[in-house]
Formats: sequence, C-alpha cells, structure tokens
Amino acid sequence: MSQGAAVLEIRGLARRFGGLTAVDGLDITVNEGEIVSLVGPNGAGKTTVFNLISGVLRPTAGSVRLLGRELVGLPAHRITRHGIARTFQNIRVFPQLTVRENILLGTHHWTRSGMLGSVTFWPGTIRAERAAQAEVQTAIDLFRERLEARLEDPAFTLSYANRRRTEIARALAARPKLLLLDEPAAGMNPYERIEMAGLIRSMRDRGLTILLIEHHMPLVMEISDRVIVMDHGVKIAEGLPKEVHSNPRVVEAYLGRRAATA
Amino acid sequence: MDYFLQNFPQQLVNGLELGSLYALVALGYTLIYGILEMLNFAHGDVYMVGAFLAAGVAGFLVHNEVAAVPAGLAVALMMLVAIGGAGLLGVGIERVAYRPLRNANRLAPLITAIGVSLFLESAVQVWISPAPVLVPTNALVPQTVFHVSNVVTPLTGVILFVLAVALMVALDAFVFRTRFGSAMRATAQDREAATFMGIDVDRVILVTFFLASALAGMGGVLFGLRYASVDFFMGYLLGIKAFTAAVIGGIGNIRGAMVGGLLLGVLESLVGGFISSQFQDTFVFLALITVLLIRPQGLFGQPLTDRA
Amino acid sequence: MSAQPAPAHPIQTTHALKRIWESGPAGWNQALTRPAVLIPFFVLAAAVPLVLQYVEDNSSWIGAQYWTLILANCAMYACLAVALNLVVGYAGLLNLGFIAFFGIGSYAYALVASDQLHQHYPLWAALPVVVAVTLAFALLVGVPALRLRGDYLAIVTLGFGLIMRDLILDLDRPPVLAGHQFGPDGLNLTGGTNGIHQVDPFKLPASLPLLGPVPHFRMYYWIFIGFLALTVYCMLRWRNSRTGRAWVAIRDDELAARAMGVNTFKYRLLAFAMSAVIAGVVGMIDAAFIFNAFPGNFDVQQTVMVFIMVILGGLGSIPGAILGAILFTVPPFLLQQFVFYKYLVISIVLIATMVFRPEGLLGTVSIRPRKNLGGTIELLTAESSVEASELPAVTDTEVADLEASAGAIVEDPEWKQ
Repeated sequence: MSQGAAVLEIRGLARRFGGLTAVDGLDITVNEGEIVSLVGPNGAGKTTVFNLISGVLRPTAGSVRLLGRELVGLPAHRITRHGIARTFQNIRVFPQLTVRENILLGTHHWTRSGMLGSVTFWPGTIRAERAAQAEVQTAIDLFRERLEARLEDPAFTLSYANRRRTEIARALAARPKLLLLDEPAAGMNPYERIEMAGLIRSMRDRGLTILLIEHHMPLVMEISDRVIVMDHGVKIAEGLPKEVHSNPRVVEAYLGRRAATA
Repeated sequence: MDYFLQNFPQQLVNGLELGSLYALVALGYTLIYGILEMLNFAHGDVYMVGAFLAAGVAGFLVHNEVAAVPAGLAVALMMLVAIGGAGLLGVGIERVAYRPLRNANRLAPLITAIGVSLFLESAVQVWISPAPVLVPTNALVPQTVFHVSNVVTPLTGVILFVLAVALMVALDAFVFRTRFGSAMRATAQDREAATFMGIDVDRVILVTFFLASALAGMGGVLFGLRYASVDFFMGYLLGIKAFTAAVIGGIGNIRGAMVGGLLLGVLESLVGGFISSQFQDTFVFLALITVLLIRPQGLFGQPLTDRA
Repeated sequence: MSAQPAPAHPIQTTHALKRIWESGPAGWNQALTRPAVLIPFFVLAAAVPLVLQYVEDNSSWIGAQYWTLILANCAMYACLAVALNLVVGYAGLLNLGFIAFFGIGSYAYALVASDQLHQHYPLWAALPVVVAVTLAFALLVGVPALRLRGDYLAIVTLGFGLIMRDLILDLDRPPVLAGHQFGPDGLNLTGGTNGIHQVDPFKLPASLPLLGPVPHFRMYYWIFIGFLALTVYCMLRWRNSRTGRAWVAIRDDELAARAMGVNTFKYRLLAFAMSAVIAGVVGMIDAAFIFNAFPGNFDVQQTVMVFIMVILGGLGSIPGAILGAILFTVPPFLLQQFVFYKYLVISIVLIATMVFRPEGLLGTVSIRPRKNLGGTIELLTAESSVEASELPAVTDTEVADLEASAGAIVEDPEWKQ
C-alpha cells in the first residue's frame, strides 16, 4: 500500500440542487499512487462528486485541492490543465473524430500550436504535433492490439468496449496526475472486466493516482487500495476493502434496513 | 418633458396593440419550443400565410360584391379560413419537414425550418404576389376612430388587442385546465416518460403545431384588418421579434410569452416615439441580447410545465 | 510525387479508383483533398478563362467574358461556402448572419476606396481596415452570443444580419437619437438604398508577363480562385491540427471537450471570427470587382443560399462546399428565364436534403442521428441495430446495475469470505 503525499484533498464538499442535497460535507483524501474506489447505491452522489472535482458543476461549499492547489471556482478546462483527467459514466468519445484524433484531444491542453503556426509549418507547431502523435502511441500501448487497428476509424464505428478504451486512452494522453474513472467496467463482459482490472493496475504502476466509481464489487475488492462508501451524499464508511464490506452500515445502505437486520 | 408626458399615453396604446400581436405569435414559438425544444423558424411565415388567406377571403367577398354576406360574417369567415389554413399548414410542415428529424441533433430541424421559411416566402412571392396585397378592411369593419383625451386609436386596433388577449386567456385555460393540456405539459416535461404514461406524443405534437399555427394565422387576420396590407416578407421581422418576446418572457413559458410580447411592443413603441424611429429595430435587437446575457432563462424562466 | 520512377500500372489505377469509389463519402473526401488532386484542380480552374478566350478567338463562339464572369461568381460563392463550412461544418455554430460579414467587408472597403468619404486607400492599406472592421463586428456579436446555446446563437446572428441591413439602409442620413442629431447635416455614410458606387478597383498591373494584357474580369476571376486556394489550404491545415480537432470535438460533445482542457468559448470565437473575416475579405474583393457595394449584399436569402451550398455539398466537406457552390451558381445562369423561382427551388432542395440525405453529397458528418454515444439506457434503446449487436449481452440499465452490485455484496463468495 502506497503512502505517498496527498494528491487530492476534498474538504467539506457540498452541492445542493434546489432542495435536494446531492453531496453533503464530504471529505476525501487520495494519496499518490493509490487506487481509491468510490462506491454506493445509485443516487448516492458519486458522479456528482466527479462533476464537482472536474469543474462540470460548481460546489455549494467546500474545497477541492490538487497537490495543494485549490480547484474550486476554476472552469473545467483549467482544472484539466492542473492535472485531472476523467472518463464519463455514459461514454463520451467524440463520434466524428477518429480514434487517433480522440486521443490527440487528450494532448490538447499541454501542446501549444496556433492557427498561424499550422498554415506556416512553424517549427514549434511541427514539434508540438509530433509530440502529440508520440503520446498517442504511448497511450495506446496499454490497449495495443485492441485499438491499434482502429486508429483511423471514426469513433462512432467502435464497439462499446473499444469506446471505453478510447476514452481511457484519451484521458491518459492528457498526462494527468489524478485520473477519475466513472464506472470503467460498466457494460463489459466478465473477460473484459478482468482485462480492465489489469489495465487499471498497470496505469497505477505507471505512476498514476486513480479515483474510480464502480458498481461491480468483485472488481472493486480486487483492485482498490481503499474504498469509500457514499450514501445520500455523505461518506458512510472508508477503509481497506476488507474492512468496508463487513461494515453493517454499508450493507444497510445497499439493501435497506430490513435486509441488514434480518 | 412636456412632450414626453403628452405623447406617452398614445405611445403606450400603440405599444400594447403591437405587443398583443407579438404575444400571439410568440405563444406559438413558446408552445413548440416547450414541446419539441425546437425553434420553429417558419412560424413567422405561417403567420404571413394566415394573413394572405384572410386577405384572399376578404378580397373575394368584396370584389364579387357578395352583398348578402354581412360584414361581421365576412370577418368571421376570414378568421375561420385563416385559422384553419394556418393550423393545417403548421401540421403539414411538422409532418413533412420536422418529424423525420425529430431525434436528430438540435441544429438539423433548425436548418430545415429555415428552408421551410424560405419556401413559404418564395411560394407566396412567386404564386400569389411579389407586391403588397391590400385588404379591403374599410368594407368590412367600421373605420371608427376612438378619441380618449389626446389618445387616438382605431376600432381595428381595439379589436386586435381585445381578441388577442381573449385568445391568450383561452389558450392558457386550455393548457392548464384541460386533460389534453396536461398531456401537453407532460410531453413538454419529458417526452419519453409521457410515452410510457400512455400519452400519444405524436398527437400532442400535431395538436401543438395546429394550435400554435392557428394562433399565428389569427394574428395574421388581425394584422390585416388593422393595417390593411399584407406582403410576403411581413412574417420575417415579426417572427424574429415575436421570438425575442418569447425569450424575454422565458421560452417555453406561456404566460411569459404573453407578458414578453406586450413588454416588447411597448418598448418598441416608446423607443420609436421618443428615441429614434430610425433605429427602433436595433433597440429591439439590443433588448434581446441584453436579456440573453443577463437572464438567459428570461424574465419568468420556468418551463411550460410550471405556472408563471 | 514527381520523383516516382514509373507510374502505376493502368489496371492498378482503375483498381485504386474503384476502391475510392467504394469507400463512400469519407474516402471520396480524403481522395479529393489530397494535394495531388487539389493542385491540378486549381491550376486547371485558373486556365479555364484562357481556354475560353482561345476558343473565342478561333471560332465564331463568343462568350468568353460572360462565362468567366459566371465562373468568377462561382469562385466567390465557393470562398463563402468554404468559410461558412468552417463555422457550421467544423465548429457546429449556426451563424445565420454570415452574409452580413460579406456585406460589412464590401462596405468597409467601399468607404475607404471611393468618393463616399473621399478616401482612396490602396489595397495594402484597405485590407487591414477591412479585416479590422469585420473582426470588430464579429467580436461584437460573437462575444455575447457564443456564450449562448446553439439555437439562441442562430436567432441572435439572424437578428444581427437584419439590423446591419437596416443600418446600411438608414445611414444615408445622420442618425437622430432622442431629438439629437449626430454628425453634420449632409452626412451620408452608406448611400442608403443606392449603395456606394464607383468603388476603386485594386491597383493591379494591366498586363502580366507571358499572358499579356489581362482584362478586369479575368484578373478578378484569378483573384477569387487564388483566394479560394488559399482558404482551402488553410482549412485543410487547420482541420488536421490541434485547432481543428478542438472545433470538431466541441461540435461533437462540448462537455467532453471541456473535460479535455479545451477552452470552448475561445475556440468557438476563433472559428466564428475567422469565418467572418474570410467573408469580409471576399466582400472586399467583390466590391472592387463590381465597383459597388449594395444593401442587397446583406440579404438573408443570400445566407440561405450559401447554407444550401454547404449542406448539399456536405457539412464538414471542403470539396462538398465547392461542389455546392458550382451547383448553385452555374445552373441559375443557364436558366435565367426561371430566375423568379430560384429561391423556391433552393428552399425545396434544402428541405429535401435535410430530410433524405442530411450528410449531403460528399459529407461524412451526419447531422441526423443524435450521436450521444454510450450511456447505459440510451445505448440500448437509441442506438442503431448494428451497434446493438456489438454490445455485450449484459443488460446494463441502472436498475440491473443496482441489483448486481447489491447482490454482489450478499452473494459473491469473495465478498463474504
């Protein structure tokens, strides 16, 4: 278990939609090199947390710090520049762009090239484009045989699992410090799920810190260093996978009070 | 200042007259937007076609000296033809041009709607008349002019205002007090869920188009009676202004569209009277931008389903 | 290319053509945007007036000038269509005030190169003025409007186009606001309904080396073709660069683009302003070509005309935009007697294209299906059957998911330990 410095520190995070409190005073810390899973029943507010971290939504209260830098209030595209990349629960690849172009989009925030540069073949632009193309190769290393053959195909022609892979490769190309994965194994068959578990581990081995939302418990148990359980917008349990699953509050949250006491 | 005080009531009355027309057309934008989230660009041209239908009926009756038809009946006939014709036109447009694109990306039906708008304009221009057509309103409606202190307004202006307001009240009652109205509101809120609830969404959409277009057609009749002249381009600018009114009131919100229409009419009239008639439209446009920037959800920014 | 020792075997060539033909619009586009196709195309296009002149000189046919004028008109619309394709096809922004920027460019040039304000700027001085003025207007509309949703942008730009037309018509006299007159009595900025006449043509050499004297119409045809080539080159470079990818990404999925660090407002504004400036420069060339700037340059029908070129050609396709421009400029000249029906036909073609072939003739971007990829419920219900067959058999609705995860806690042996 890695005990690196805190990469992500969330303190007192809250978000209300009208009368509904989706997230209420949440504290989360993710340390360098960790794989932390965020689990909980539907409507627990997990995806809202991701949206708050990545700047899609603005928190009502609280702070989100990445390596000590406050992110709350920054627009989404700025937050990406600070080192957070994410995937979406309902996969959001760019359908009309090819797989390669999708992954190149990941390099957008750390490459510099303008409109004038690209029409004049400016050396800086050429260099930036070359670096971006090289990053595509690095990013698909993990999926080599799965994506390589499809690199020049538009993303809407891909299978569901390949769209997931493209989305993850795109996030990797953004060279994030923290990767947010929203249900990476949803809709995958058991074989693909095992593959995904290996993939998440190898991404961590590359030095990434990962926070993920996942419903499939065996996968969560297998890959997580720590598990955080949410229900109704609050954290109800946190700890090692083993510790969390025996927590009665967790079972109750999933199955309701009767099942827990029965 | 004296000039302002003396002329203010007159400009206000002019503005309300104009505004009630905007409101009538704005209702159509808001209804269709509320149900389909689609900006029906051709709506202003449906209004124009309604006006031409009424002008055609009026012209036929007057020129053939159908003396047996009393004026009141003639006007009623104009309205009936315009409402029915415009309503069916709206339904036809939906069926032919919009339904195939209903599940498309937002821009697709918008582009088609531009095509429909241009089609209606060119069709009227080519097949009916490229020049303004006169409506023999003096043979149909008494040309009484009311003088109240120093405010002057013709009877047709009063008819325009009163009928427009009456129709708005009727529509409001239909949407908020009838079973079909609640089906419309359900569809506006969540089309998919409405389908699951057993609502025939296609029928709701057709009826919405009919209602919206019929109101626009009625607006066309009232315009023709008041201003005695119609032309193929009349729906264009009015359509944009009515849409502006709908946005000001909060698009999708029926009562918002009524208030927005009246507000915009008064604003336009006051600007025209006291600031510059030359740049009247520019100010209307600036009002649209200002509202969109400061309060993009409009003054009463609630969806169709909520009561204003 | 020229360094290749032996050309491909003829049989292989037909094979290659057949393969391209069978690869569908995406392949056609790719084939047609290769330098090996585009360079000969522009060279041939530039040579057409010379061929026409040669035929005229050597036969009884007269019409070289007439046909060159038609083609110049066609090239001008092609420039506009390519510029509109940038903003609509790439960036997905419905700019219905597009043609107003063409008008603004023509008037900006006319004001600094005619007797209207007694200014006679040479081209090198007028060009920056035209660019600056169209850019200023583009920012004036774009900065507030591009923060709005797509359909609001459409109505704001449409309103902008109408207002510009009104202003052009009204500014033949000094503006009066609330009883105050701005400017001297005789102020006539735009010439009202008459427009501005006797605009200076560019000061260009009357004859070129090798070609001898070049008549006005042929010179401007070449200017339009040259500008079109430049625009097409820039578009192709941009499309395959960081900028172009960002545009298409925003069009495809704005939220995902933001999540990848794309400043969506900035890139929208870039696309909007760049296409406006190109339209403005085309307007300037047109004013110098026909010596006039007309209020008709602002006609909304003109916007629709350019729109149909782009949409019939295929959104996002440069060869498509050029094809569209050819289809909608050349036949109308041949069918002058039906000119009254022009917009009727255009509107019918526009509707029919949208309903029956929304991706256009050469387009790869289908505007029709809502391409919201993925999503558990949506994927199962809304995607095409081809996609559904690729799905794993797991029904992955949220309900099933909840059951699965809840079940996992109780039943999974690992979980129970």
